[in-house]
Amino acid sequence: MSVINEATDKKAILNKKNSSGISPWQIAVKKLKKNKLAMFGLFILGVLALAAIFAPLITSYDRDLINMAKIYEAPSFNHWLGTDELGRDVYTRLVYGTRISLSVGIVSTAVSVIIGVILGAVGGYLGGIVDAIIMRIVDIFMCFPFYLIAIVVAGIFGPSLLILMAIMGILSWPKIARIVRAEVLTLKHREFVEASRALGLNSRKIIFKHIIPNTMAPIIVYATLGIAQGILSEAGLSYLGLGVKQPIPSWGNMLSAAQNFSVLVSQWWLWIPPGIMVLFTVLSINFFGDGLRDALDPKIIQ
Amino acid sequence: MRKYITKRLLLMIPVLLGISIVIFSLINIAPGDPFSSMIDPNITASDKQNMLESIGYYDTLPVKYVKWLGRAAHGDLGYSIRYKEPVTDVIMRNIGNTMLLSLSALLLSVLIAVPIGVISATHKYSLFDYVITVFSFIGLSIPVFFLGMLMIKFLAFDMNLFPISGMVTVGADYSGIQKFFDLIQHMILPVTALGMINMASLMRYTRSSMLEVITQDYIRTARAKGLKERRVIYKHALKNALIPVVTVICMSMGYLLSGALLTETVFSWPGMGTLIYQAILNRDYPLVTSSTMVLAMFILFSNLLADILYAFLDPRIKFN
Amino acid sequence: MSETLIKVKNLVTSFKSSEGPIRVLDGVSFSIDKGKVLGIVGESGCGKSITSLSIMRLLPQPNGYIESGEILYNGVDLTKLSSSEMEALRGNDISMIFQEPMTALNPVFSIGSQIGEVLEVHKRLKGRERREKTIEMLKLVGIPRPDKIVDEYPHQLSGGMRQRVMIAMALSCDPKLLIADEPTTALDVTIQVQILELIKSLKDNLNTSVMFITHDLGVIAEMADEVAVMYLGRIVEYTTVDDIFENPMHPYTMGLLCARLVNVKKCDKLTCIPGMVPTLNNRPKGCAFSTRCTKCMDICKEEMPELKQIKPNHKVRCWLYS
Repeated sequence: MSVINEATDKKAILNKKNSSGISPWQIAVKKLKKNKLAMFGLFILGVLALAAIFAPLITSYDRDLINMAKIYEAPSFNHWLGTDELGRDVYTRLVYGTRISLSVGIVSTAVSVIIGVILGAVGGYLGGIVDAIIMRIVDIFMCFPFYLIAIVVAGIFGPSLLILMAIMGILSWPKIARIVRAEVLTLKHREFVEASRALGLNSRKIIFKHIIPNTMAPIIVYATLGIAQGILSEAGLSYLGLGVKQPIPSWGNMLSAAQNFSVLVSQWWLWIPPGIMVLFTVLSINFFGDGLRDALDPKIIQ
Repeated sequence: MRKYITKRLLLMIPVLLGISIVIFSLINIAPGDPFSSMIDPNITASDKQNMLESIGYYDTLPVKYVKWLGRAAHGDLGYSIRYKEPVTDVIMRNIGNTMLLSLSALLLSVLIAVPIGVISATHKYSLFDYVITVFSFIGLSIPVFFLGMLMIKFLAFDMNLFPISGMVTVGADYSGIQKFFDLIQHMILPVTALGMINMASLMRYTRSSMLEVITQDYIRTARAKGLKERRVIYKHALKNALIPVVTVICMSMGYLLSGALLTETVFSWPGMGTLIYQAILNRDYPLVTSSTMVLAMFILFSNLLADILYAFLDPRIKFN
Repeated sequence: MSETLIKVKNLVTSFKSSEGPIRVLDGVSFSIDKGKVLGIVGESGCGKSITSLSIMRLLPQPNGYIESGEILYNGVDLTKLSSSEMEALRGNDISMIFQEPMTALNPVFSIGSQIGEVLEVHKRLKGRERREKTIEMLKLVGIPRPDKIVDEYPHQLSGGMRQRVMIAMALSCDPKLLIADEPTTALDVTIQVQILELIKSLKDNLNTSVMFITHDLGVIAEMADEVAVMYLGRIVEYTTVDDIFENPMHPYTMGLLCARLVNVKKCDKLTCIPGMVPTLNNRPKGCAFSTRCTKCMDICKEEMPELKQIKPNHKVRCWLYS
């Protein structure tokens, strides 16, 4: 058999599903559905996403309406979670805060995944000097504690939603790059890559069309968990006053009300609800992400 | 192994340089004139001109960098705008407190998380394992400052079990053993809050490392030798499982320092975190950038320590 | 007059699964006399390894379990022993070596400490005495510079060396029975020969019984006194090594023999047994081999034949002979 025919056969195998007709993805989905915690997490996330999208429909007050006559009111029938220091309805702001927290988490993760996947794959595949440089940059980034740099940069450039997403994206890509690189290194020497080379594909095509799709599993898992990390980070930075600025509500800046000691002690409805929201959102993401990791792990046989 | 360590040390050099370049860029991007803050504010105007020249104010950027690097290597990190004293002095005052907090949190989390992780793995799917898993999920998902706030509100304020904030009781003049106990009392809440998250992730990591080792062939061999199960788990499995765990512990210094910033703010703990936060609000950039550099160095060395320990513990690297 | 060392009677081993219990061994019976070698032959998945793990009571937990049957070792039923009683036997009376030498040794302990451990636990040897005995065992299995190797780590040795170490470890307490589960499959052919020679000579010198598991009939010819051929959890033919090659009776055995390259001249072309081994939860009705047997009759598809003694020292499970 000529080399070309051999390689074409190998390519056919590349695209083939296994003999019983179930693709690895379908197996993973099946496994995932059995995981109750993961499904519960997914359900909560679904509810939150809907709440974020349909916020105006489930809240009755204006988000930013200041009413100085009604400040610091405890929860009541009119205001389910009371009012804040400017008389605004806490429940409404909490629901709108979902939008900010979720979108910051998603966008910053998207940024870090894109940068991380490209640099990790390129470094892992090309090796040599390129890899060495990229890895050194990763090492440098990993020496800076996240909040420290985020605080410093936010402090210098002033807080804004865009800067926040950018900082978080830029500080998180090294982690993903490392994972992608490790995966690429293992895959590099597998047969189907050699088959692609035999077919005459250039490096770029090999990286994008063949290697990256096979690294999807850990990328998806880490992206999911990265969103959780993003939400936590946004909360932290906004709490310090260096994230989302008023009047836009985010769970983080709602929590910053409790920097005031009397609020912490007497007006629990201002800070405990947003804190619990962060906890439940991140928890759900973690349940789901963990279930995802187990489902996509080929070593775990049910 | 010597080759491995030498290689690691050599690789550290570009990283060190990289860190210094990042810091230097931050210094120059920050608003304000970074050079006035590099010289003692108490000197005369003519001396000031000479000083400015010697520190490179009139030089080109690369020369500026080299001169700054030289001074930094000698411990001269400039002067704090707010405190009007050398940055090095200010940092020295506060870094100890942050280290106390972080290292205690590290110790606490290791002492609790590792044994629990091991037991969780050997009793997979038991009630204990299930409870621990839920607990560690919660621990991973809660923002450290929210946890701190909850602790202050309920444990310190409502139940009056612990002091609300700070490192020492203000006004009281304790000494000796009383001072020590006062310190411990103040430490309990922040150390627990900071350590909680590290504990949760370490628990899960130990568990999964242990689980992976238990399925290895050499564990089956150990059993086939007629060794008692306790010996198989706590000698054969554990030693293998702990090697990556040790490196993770070293590398968690980065997370702990990061979390310490937030924890300190919540508990008004006088450490680097509060220092940096205040410095940013006060636009005291020399303090900010130098503190950043000091912490980054510390993390760099913890990562290096992690690699070296790994080489020591794993015979596959030690003897090759 | 040879004495029976170990007698397995109707061993049934199953695995718990999400689809219900799966029977892996379905009534396996055989015996091994003192100083003799029993070869167990079969394709992957026929249950040969599970047989050995059942004897050692090392079935994968928590799903593997012995459903019924007896394993009589020197009159004692191993299935009824407590874990500490089994621990006293393992490595001491009954030892086992495995297929993958590359992963069978603990990477973080030295060779000497891993062998010494067996000596310490079973024979209470300590210190210098233990080290000397360890070095003696290494010498016995043909490892050069044993006094240096004793302090080295597994990753510093080749596959063949590691397997020798495994053998040294298994034989260090003078076991009566050695179970060898495909010990040479993962090794180069030249090393295979050395290891087989080693096992043979040790067995002769120490008068150890051996249960040798393999899929390679050539190895059986070299090593075994008696042979049991397994298919899908049952023994289908059980006889002496000479008889299995000269008078194979079961169609499966004949198929295995014909599939060997050595027989190409005899059979004109390389034959192979048509079809694939059925999975354990898709057992055929009747005789397990009926789906692939060239001599399949109607009764074969309906009823499972018993293992019957057709000639002295020759048992077959096949309707052709009952």
